[in-house]
Amino acid sequence: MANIHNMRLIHFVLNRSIPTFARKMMNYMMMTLVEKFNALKADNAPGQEVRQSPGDLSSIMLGEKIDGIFVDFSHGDVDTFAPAPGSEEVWNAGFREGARQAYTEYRGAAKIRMGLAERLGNYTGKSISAENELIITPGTQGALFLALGATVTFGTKVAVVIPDYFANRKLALFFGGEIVPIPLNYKDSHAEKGIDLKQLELAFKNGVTQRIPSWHCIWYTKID
Amino acid sequence: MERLQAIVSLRAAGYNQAVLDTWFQEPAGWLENRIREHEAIRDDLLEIFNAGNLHTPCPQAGSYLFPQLPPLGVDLHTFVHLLRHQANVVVTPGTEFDPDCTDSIRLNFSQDHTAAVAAAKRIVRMTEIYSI
Repeated sequence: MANIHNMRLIHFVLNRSIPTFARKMMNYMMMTLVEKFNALKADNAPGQEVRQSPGDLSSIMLGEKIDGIFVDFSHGDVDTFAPAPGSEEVWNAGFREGARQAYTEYRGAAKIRMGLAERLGNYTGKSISAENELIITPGTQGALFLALGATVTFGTKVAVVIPDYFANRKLALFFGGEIVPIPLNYKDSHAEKGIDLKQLELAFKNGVTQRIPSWHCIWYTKID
Repeated sequence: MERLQAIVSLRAAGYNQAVLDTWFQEPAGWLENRIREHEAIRDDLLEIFNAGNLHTPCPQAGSYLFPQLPPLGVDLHTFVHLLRHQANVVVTPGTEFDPDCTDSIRLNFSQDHTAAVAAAKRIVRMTEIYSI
């Protein structure tokens, strides 16, 4: 009841007491929230197909059904290509370890980070501090969310390669960033494949401070 | 990033973190073999798509293909729905990666080789059925 009372009070204050410009700003903020979530629509995103209701397709379908084993190309098939050998054993070992493994520090268990930092350093040729330069996240998407959330705020210009990893654009918009699209030349008709570096350079000269990787280029750069 | 993670998920699921102990120390030859298996699937699908008038560049990394469809009598999203309904194949519309990319589909080809080849042939057949 207290909440309802407060809401009525806020409504009254907004409509009677706050100057017009402030009300417009509040309306704008509400609009941007709606727009924000409209931009996050995931109806056609990979893995969401099972939730779609495309309606009666039989009325527009031409010809007969074409039989064949079901293949879902929206993601990799882990039944065919299982995780690396030993994954199940180390998962079970962690499970047996109990609370110490279940409730690690937020950036991930120190013991795991230390081993991983050393191996990543050997692979990349650049030493990585397990203490300060490594965080374990819930998947790639979780990592991107944290990276963009830590560097993008309202009005930040963000260079996004197009076409991109499916949620890059959405992440930048969600955090209030302004998208600056950078073409990825991927077709055989393009003389030189890859990111359009001239446009990327121009974008940075025009105030872009962040860049998100494309699904062709798995890296992330912050330039101050 | 840690502070943000602390208010989103606290941490990556604890038991799952342990699996990273297998990372970058896979058995000798395991990764090379996996790459070979994926390249074989990729090459077969590229051949099927390009021969079937779906222009598909060879990716420089990753397990994704981005075939460009020929002109169709139905819009992209309807075609993607039809692929699932009529040909038992799920793909992702190109618009998920670029809102203006209404003539392409994306496939993760990390699939059973034989099933993926058969499914690619069904995709080509579907473009023939629905071509203008």
